Amino acid sequence: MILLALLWAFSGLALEIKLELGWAGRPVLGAVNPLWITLTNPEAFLVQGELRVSMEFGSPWRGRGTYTAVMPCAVGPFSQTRLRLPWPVQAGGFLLKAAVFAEERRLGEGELRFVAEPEPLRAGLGPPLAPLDLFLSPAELPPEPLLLSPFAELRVFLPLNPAEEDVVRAWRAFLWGEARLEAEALRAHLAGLRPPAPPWGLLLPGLFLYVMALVWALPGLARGRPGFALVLLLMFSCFALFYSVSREASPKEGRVYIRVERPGFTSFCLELWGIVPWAREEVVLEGWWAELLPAQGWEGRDLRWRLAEGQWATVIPLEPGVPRVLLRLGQGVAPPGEKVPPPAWLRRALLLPWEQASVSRLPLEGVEAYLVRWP
Amino acid sequence: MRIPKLPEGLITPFQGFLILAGGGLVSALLWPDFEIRRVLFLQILAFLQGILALQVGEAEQGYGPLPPSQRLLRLTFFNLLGVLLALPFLFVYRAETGASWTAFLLALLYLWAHGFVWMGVGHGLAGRVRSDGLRFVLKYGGFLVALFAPVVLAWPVSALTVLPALWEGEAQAWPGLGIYLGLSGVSLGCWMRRSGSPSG
Repeated sequence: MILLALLWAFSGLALEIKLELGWAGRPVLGAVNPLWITLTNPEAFLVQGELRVSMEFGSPWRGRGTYTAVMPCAVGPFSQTRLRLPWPVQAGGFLLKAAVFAEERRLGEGELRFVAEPEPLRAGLGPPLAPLDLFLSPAELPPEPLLLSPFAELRVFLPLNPAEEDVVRAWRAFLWGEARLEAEALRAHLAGLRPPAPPWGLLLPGLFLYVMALVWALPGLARGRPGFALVLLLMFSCFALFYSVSREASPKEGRVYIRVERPGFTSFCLELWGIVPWAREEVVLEGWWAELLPAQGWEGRDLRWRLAEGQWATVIPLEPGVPRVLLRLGQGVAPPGEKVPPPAWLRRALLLPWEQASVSRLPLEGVEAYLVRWP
Repeated sequence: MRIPKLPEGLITPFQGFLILAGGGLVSALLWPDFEIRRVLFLQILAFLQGILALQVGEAEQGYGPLPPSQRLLRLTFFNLLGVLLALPFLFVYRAETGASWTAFLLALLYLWAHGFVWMGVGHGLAGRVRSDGLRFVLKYGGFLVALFAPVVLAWPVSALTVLPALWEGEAQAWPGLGIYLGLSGVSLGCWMRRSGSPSG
């Protein structure tokens, strides 16, 4: 016993971490599932650190990606903390790992092996009055409707308060199928966006002049008169350096933002960000975003969520030319926009009763942004 | 310090390098696929620079008797000239591919080491292999093998993969950069040891 206590004391692991994924422990493939993390501190001192959760997904033929979430955590002496995170489960993901670190010292770790359900679940809210997969109490209803995405059916057997009703309505409007999203059409539109073309009118004559001038001046180096060639080389290098620096400010990616609202029906809105980069870079979006993955080509489609000062941010590492489509169910008010007819690609990307919908172009700088209102 | 005189026979290789590298840059920038657009010019440049370096090394072997230190100075200058001729193209390419300045400087360092090593190979082969045909096969065959075999075998040491990886700031470029820097260091060391005796 003493030996065990000594081993525990010197292992440096002060926290116990328990993970539970999915409603009733049944995670659903291709959906954003709830992930409960229970941190237990058996020690007589406060444990503070950074909680890191990660999961690999994909396969060799599809490509592999990694999801990571990082957040600060604190657990009081002899107490327990329970956290809930939204966690997307993708094919090939079967192992969740979590660890708490304090200045790179591991304070605790835990892992969960799971098998995801291939089909969405059928759930009821309230007493078990019908043969369904599981039943939730209103207290279990999450404030984020995206966590209801594992459900293909959500039947309500008792009256709900307005906030709960709002969440269920958001699920019905944006996740159940009243509006459907064709991410492939949005990806095709993004793939068609091009980077700002080089200023060919300046670049081509400049390159031609440089090549011709040096071709003409190089024999001078063989005749022992290198000055002219070297001056030309220096001059054109300076022009090229100036060109290189002046092009720094040009946009590094194409962005599309779509916001779908159902005023009067739910206070939530469906937000979509489409990004296609021209260079390798990292983009940070405020809030918690999930990605709509294509059928394959998942290599490097990593996402990192980090919580700082109570706010989530999604970090997206981008590969050149690879379009990424992200979604969330948010709230808030959109800036006023100018009414426009819906572009053809938007009609293909969003399947909803377009005859009832109105579309406005939102004034967001450097972004092709649309607000779709549908009663 | 006097700037070394370029041998007459090297004017055309340098001019050809400049024209083909310029064409390579325009082709790369016009290429519709993003992935290829980001690597094509660097691969063309690595190939052209290797060929130029072999030719310069070989031509230097026949450029009169000189002490090794002076020969080394000439080879270093011609290698630098090759990199400097490509410099405006690399500035433009950096702007259009959004590469970082660190990646740009590392790519320049790699090009310098790559050119130096193949210049040494060209120079060494010209001094040791008398048969023109065999020398041609060894020189260009060896270069092509060193360029393409690692790509087939997925070893991260070919200029075709190392230079684009440096450009993207990827860690897989380090072994390739290390090998060429190491080889140029070794060749430099060997050269210094010979510096007491005259060279042909």
